[in-house]
Amino acid sequence: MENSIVFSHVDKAYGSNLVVEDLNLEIKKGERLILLGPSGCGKTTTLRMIAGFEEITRGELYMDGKVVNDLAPGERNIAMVFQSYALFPHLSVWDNITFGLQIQKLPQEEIIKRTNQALEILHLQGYENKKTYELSGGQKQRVALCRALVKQSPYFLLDEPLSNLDAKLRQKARTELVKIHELFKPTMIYVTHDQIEAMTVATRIAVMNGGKIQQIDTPHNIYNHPANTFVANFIGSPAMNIVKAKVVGNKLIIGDSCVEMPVDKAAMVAGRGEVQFGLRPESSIPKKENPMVKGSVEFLENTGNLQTVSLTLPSGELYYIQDSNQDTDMENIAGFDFDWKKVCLFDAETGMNLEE
Amino acid sequence: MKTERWKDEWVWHVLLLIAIFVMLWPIVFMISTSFKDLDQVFESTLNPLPFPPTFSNYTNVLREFPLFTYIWNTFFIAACVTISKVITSVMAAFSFVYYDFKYKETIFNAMLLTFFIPVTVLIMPNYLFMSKLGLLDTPYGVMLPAFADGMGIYLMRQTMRGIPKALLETSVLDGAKPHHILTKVVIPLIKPAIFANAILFFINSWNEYFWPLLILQSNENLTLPLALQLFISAEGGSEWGVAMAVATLTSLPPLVLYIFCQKFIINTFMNSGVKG
Repeated sequence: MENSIVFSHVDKAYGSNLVVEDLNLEIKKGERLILLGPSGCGKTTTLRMIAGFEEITRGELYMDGKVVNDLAPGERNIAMVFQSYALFPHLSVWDNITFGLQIQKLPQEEIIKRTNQALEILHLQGYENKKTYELSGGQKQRVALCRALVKQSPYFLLDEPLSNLDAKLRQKARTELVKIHELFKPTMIYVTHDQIEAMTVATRIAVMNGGKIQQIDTPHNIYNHPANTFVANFIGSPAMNIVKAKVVGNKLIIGDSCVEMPVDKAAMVAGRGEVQFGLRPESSIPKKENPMVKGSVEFLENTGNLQTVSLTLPSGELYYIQDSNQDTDMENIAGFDFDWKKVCLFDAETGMNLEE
Repeated sequence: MKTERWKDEWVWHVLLLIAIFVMLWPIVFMISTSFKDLDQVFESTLNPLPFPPTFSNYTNVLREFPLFTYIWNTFFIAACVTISKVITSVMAAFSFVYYDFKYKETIFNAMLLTFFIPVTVLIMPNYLFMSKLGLLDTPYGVMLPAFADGMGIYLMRQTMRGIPKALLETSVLDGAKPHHILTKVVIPLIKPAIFANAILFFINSWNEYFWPLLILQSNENLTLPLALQLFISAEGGSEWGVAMAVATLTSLPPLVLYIFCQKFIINTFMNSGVKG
């Protein structure tokens, strides 16, 4: 339980508006947990409950094994990086970074030692006396990170820390973040709506929607075994293809193509008339002749490293296929093949994955 | 383009010029009269240019009039009022913005209502109060009712609300107590606004006439605006030239203060005035 964070049946309501519902989540010591979801899904509220900025309406929040519902933010020993960086415009870089340490009246030698170490890790030496408005976006982000780092607190909260950076910087900052985490191993909770960030930074991802956790798992499992159609749709670009399919005995009818199922999948859908068939665009193998599922090419997009083609199935549904081989003649394909191991089957109504 | 703009806007420019003239005329006259001797004052009433100009009014003031006593009296009151108003405004605004307490909105609205109470209504109760406290004819009687200011609290509150919330949250997470937040974050960030308000408080107090007139009686306690009338109602002839010399000297300090801090004041009121 040391340095872990546990939500036990936590609700958060503003008046009658429930923004987080029955949240049960255990964040283990030293892991990088990412709260991922579309805007308004309650992920930032969840983070702010950990920080103590939002009161908990019902349920308990444990940190380090103790209930902290009523503990003031300043007493939770948390370091946080804000989306806006929240640097003090009237202070220099050095004063910004040491602000908290000065307030806590740490010995000067200790402050200098910690700050110099953090400045070195984040390549900020030489900027100590600059005012924050003289810095670029990337430097500001690093100063904010540096300020969180010098606290050496066991909990590290990040609220969309990279969303104000351009794409190139974001990639660099992502790897930097992971490296820094490996160095100190604090318990890290990171909020983002960017799935790439989530996939690359997280040891575990909690996907949220409508105030509820949809799935908590490793990036690999979230991507390959989504718990429901929401997760399947949210992760991946283009998202997982999800099309209706009729069950006839041990066969599945997708569009107007009839495909035989292996035994395990057939057992999964036994007794159902209709399911949702889910397959990633890159797991769909383009075929020119005799494809397992037929469709006609609508549009081809070539981004240099990838060819993405959109198909229209006979049922009218749109289907994306992605191929990394530039030599494939994608424009003239007649449909696609697939490997049953890569297929996800979801309940036609609830959208739950039938795997479990 | 240029001429077309003139076609559209010349009416406004003429109106503005008239307005400027109307506002500046008394000031021009105050200054010009201060350079005239008594005969010149009455012989050419509308001539703003004294010929020949005389400095005798100013030398008279400096020789026979305890000018520096009055400057000190006025300054002492204005300085105390300014300091006190700044402190009360900042602290009250801070609690309105960063604390949640019962009836907060009610108290704030009640404070706003004080803007709409005419000064004249408050004069009787305030006068009785000062008299009960034995503060009549003392600078403290002048200052005391001016120690807090609803407008000041309102303006400070508006400015503080403009500070990004994340700045305060990050300081809270760092273990900052309210007094840290006030002194290390809020005050440094709104320093220009505090400064601008202080100047306005100072100028207002410096120019205050009516309330000091009621409280102060002895000659040696008077403030500058009150001392002016000594020349006007003096037995028989009013010494207009000398009075205007004193008036000119009186209006100098606030004017200089304003000119130096003009940028501050305008910026602050543009930014914090009405914006929520």
